[in-house]
Amino acid sequence: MFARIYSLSLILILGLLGSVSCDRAEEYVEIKDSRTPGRFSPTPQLGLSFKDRAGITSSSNSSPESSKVSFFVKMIGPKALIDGEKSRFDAFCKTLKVGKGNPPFEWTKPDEWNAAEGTAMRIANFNFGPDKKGECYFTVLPGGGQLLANLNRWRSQMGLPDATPEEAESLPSRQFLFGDGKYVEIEGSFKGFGASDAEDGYKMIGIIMPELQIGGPK
Amino acid sequence: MADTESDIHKGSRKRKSLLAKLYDFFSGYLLAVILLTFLLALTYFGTMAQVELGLYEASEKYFESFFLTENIAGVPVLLPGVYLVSALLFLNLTLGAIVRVRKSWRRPGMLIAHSGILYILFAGFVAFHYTKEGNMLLYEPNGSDVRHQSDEIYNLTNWSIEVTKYDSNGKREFIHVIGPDQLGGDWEAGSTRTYVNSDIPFQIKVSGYLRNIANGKGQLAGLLSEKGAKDKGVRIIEGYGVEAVPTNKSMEFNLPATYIDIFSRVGTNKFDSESISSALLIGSGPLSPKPFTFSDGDEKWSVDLTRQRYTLPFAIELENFQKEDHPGTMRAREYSSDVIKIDTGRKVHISMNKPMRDAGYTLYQASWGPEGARPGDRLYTSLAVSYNPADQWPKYGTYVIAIGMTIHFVQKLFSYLKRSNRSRRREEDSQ
Amino acid sequence: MNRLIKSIRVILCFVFAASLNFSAAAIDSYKKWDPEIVKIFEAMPVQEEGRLKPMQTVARYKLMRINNSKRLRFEVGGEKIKVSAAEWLMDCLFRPEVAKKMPIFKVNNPDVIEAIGVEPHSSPRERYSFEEISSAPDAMKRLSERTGELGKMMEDSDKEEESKAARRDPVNAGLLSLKSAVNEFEWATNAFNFARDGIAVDLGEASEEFKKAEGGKSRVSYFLSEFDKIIEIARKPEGQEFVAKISAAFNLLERDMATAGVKDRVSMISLAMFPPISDDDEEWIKPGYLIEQLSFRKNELSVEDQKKFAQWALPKIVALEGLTRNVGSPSFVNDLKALSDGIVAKAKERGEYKNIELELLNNRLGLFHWALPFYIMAFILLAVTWLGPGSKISRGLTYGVLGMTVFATVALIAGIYLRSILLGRPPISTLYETIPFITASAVILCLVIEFFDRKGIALACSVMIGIIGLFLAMRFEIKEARDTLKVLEAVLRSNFWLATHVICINIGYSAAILGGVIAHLFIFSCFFNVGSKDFRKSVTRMVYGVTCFGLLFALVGTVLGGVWANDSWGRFWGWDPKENGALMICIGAIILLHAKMGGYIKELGINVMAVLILMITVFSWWHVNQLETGLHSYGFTSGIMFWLFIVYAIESAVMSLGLSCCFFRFPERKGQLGGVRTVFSVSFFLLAFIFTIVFVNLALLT
Repeated sequence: MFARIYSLSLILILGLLGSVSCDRAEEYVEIKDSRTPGRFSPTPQLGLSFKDRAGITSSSNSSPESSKVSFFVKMIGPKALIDGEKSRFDAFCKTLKVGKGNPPFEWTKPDEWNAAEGTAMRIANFNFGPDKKGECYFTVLPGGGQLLANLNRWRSQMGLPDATPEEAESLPSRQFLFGDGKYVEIEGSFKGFGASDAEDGYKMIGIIMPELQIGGPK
Repeated sequence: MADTESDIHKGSRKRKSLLAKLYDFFSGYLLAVILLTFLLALTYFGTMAQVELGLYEASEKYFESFFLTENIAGVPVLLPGVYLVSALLFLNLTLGAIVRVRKSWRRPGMLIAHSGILYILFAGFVAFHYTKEGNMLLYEPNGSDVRHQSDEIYNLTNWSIEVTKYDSNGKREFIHVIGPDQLGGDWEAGSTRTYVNSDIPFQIKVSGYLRNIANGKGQLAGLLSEKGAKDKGVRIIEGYGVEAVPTNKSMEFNLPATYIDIFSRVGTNKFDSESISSALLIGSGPLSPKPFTFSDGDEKWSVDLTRQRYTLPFAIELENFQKEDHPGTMRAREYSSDVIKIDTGRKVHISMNKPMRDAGYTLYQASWGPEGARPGDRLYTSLAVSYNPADQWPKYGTYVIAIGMTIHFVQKLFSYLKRSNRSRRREEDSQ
Repeated sequence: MNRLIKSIRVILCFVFAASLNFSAAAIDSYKKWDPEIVKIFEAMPVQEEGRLKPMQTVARYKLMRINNSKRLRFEVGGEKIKVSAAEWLMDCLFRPEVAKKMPIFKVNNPDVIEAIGVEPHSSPRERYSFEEISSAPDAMKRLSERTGELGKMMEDSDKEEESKAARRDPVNAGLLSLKSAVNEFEWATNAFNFARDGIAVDLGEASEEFKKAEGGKSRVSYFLSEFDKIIEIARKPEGQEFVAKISAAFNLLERDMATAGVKDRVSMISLAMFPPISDDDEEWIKPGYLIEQLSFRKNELSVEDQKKFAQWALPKIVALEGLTRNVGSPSFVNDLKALSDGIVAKAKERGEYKNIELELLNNRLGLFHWALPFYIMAFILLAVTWLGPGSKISRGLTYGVLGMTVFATVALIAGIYLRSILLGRPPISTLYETIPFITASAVILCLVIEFFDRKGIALACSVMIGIIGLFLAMRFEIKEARDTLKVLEAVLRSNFWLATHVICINIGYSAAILGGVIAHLFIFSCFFNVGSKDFRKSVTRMVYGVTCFGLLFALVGTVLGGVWANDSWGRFWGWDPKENGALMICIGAIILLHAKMGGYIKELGINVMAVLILMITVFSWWHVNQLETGLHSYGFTSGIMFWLFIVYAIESAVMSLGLSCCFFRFPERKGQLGGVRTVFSVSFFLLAFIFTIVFVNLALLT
């Protein structure tokens, strides 16, 4: 704070000098403070455009959050099981479409899968495999957050560290419902909701379609 | 003390020199009463002003200033600020209650109490000028994740511009800081400040600094698209411009923005007249710095408008964070963090009202987040960190004051009781 | 001006309450509950706002939020009926059709009730029944719409000022409070709907596999026990038709579940009346959670756990079904006793029950409410002694006054102590708790002074303060209508600091207030020229002594507060409004002492200053909490600004009375005073006078 008073007076003096020399309010200030970068502080992301620095994404300035909906379809289970069911997963995703009913979706259940009853969150819900260890479900969330947040939510369920925005953007696209979703494939140890111990050798595949505009403001 | 005052009054008033008169005034009760009255009024005004201005700006105006103008019933009145009043009070107290007072071992109470107050005032002065404070966010460990470590804190209310030099590997070498003292103050329309340093091969011209461009919901309400900026005649860089938004009463919700131009150095005190780079800066978040980067010759530099940061002399790692609510409610019963000081391995349990003190720094359990987290979400702990040389002084000051005042008032009570006993006895005798 | 007229009207109503006729009796008969049933019900433990408490406490504050009183009074066919809070809650839960007819909603402003299209009663004292409001066409809809708009505005942070202004509008404020009362009432009457009504679908009709049904309805317990089978049928290829039939039932179940309260930690409105299944879990269970876990969220548990949970939960639902369907039958009392015994036994096993009995005792004793009439009687006796001062009778009566005061104060202290034990922490941590504490410490201080200086002055003050303080506590409790025994935020949970800083500061407050109150005696004695010089001298001495005492505690308390703040969030002083308020009291007292020592003020000045300090204390104690800013946000209470301005106006008037004595009562001293002092005293007088007018105006404007 001493420095503050000192430099304020310096600014004042310089400002006075400045105003004498020219009419514009132009001040010259000597930078005095400095610090060494912290060893553990987050590394800055370099070379970003203004849009990236300010965190402006195409969706965030288009509409309020309330009319946006995110869609997810996710399959999870022991790695071997999931690898074997991949084709059925794809087939299921292709049959999933908007239709009658409430919530308004229709799909065809792969024959080998068992239907589990839906919950408020899980609109379509299946399990399969020995001990019903494999699960697949389709979820719709109002709002739902952006791609990176969802990806990291899934990654944390599989016990993996957060991904960077670049990693999220570089995910492969997959035709899903009404547009392009991002296809995710993660291996790790799964810790289900409420479970105490994580189970190793698990795999999760899924499609994230974040914050889709529904209806649009009238 | 009363005796000394009247002695001097009766004694040699006429003969006194100007200096002695000044001494009398500065050590006298009159000044004390005047200053205290000012202090009372300023505290009242400063409290009421917080409704309109918020704590930060009200403190700046009333409590950290030398002078201020206050509208009383529509008339602007010039008043001394609390800083000035406290300084004068310190002088008055030193001269009147310590230097000038007649010291007597039989009546030590007031002398002790006044020394205690002086001590606290002094502690306030030291704390005001030398405190560094900020916050540290640490995410709780999650599955196989490595523990979150940090040795950097950021201030919630003050902003600075950091000018960083990178080595060839893209690692940060050194950070020059344009502190809040150099960045703050009034920014009149059209004014610019140019920042220079002999170690920096360019100068940075800051223009159009805005204290806030965010609205109450945290949206960038002051950010203008190319078209909007053109209509309002605002400077456009990379397709965007900014305009001011009324500042939020809670200082931590304000987000500043500014335009900068970089001019290369061509001689010891000479700079190019053409800028090599220009940018629009918006205050960046604490956890993922996204500075504006550019190259000057072979060197890579970045400029970042960021909350004022300090690097701590040690690093902390979060081992565990616990949060417990009152059953069936969202009201926190207790939350605490188990941290490890990395370099020494010292383990500390930081909880509400139980801070960690180390190397002159104090780490407090301040809060937690994210807001509205549900059970199972990954939480972070927010530690408030402060470096304050006068940290514990007020505590000692309190003891001194309490002892002094107790001695004094107990003595007074006894002498009063003795007197009233005597008078009662006299009454009884006369009856 | 409206405000003033209204408050006068309220006072008038108070006076003539006895002669008022309750004409619109919406209810035509009322059968009292069996006292034994009430006794069982009252003592059932419920977890609310983080604390396990008896049903009686819950019922009392629920009723208070709707009705502004701890009991309900109405007339049925000329007979006056008193219904206790617990009885009322039982009516809501078990006989909603009766509860809906009881006159319960208090709406003082007829404009409010007219705004939603209900015919207003002739007297604001007459309450409205739920049926009366809900039967008026569109009344409920209008109420929801108007309050919904206000709610939206409140949530929009950019419309803060607008929303504050809108809420200040008396009709809007009235609508908001009526809406929250209606909500609270609707919840209570719907809470056990699921048990009473069951589900409006005949499972037997829907599918061959179900047989149990009652007149087209199924019991919730049966529906839940067969939930797996229902899902199984629905999932079959031919289940389409079945799904269509029961989907309405699912919707109803979901609604009932929400009304009965799930485990969302947000809704404080339902009864968390069952101890949790696991002994490690602290959170008690609301009935809705049982339904949720047995149906929609069943698959969160393993098959084994599902079974275990069903075994534990279904009997509870069956018990509630039995109760709600057999109201009035002789078996009701036994069923309730069985349910209650089970819960109480579990609570005892968990070690949570011991305070329930103590709290029931506390509720029954009502020590604070008890102390008030004793202070009032003491005051009346005291007034009698003033009729014949010095006589033998009056001396005897003085002992009576002293006895009653001591008795009332002991009750007050016992009440504070009991609360302290119940919560396991020092006696002050909420704004409400400061009131009895400050009252008690001021009264004790008075009694101590009286012990040294037996002139009856301090005794009179103690009685006055006792009456004012306890009356204030009573009004504040009704105004807040929230359980005053509160659990604390993490930062406040430090018994050391609560016992030091908070107690010191509040003793400081009480001494500052006491000083101001005693100073009134001096000013009145001067102005009306009553009382001897000796009397005034001892009053001044008391004021001075009390101020010194108060300064010691206020100063140490304030600085200790800083030390606490330094330990809990890293700064000693942050210019927070509450801190500033405490500082202002200290500065006021310090100015008084130094101005006296410097010889700038004498007797009168000391007393006027003490009144000013009283005003500052009121500012710091109450006003600061109304600023809606700052860290000490434990008590924003709306609607007390009016009374604050009235207090300020009265005190400014007292100060100007006192200051006028300078040149009106002691003109002979004028010469002595000297020019400067005359100027000062005149200008101070004018200032106090102007402030009186300003505060009266402000009071009328709020």
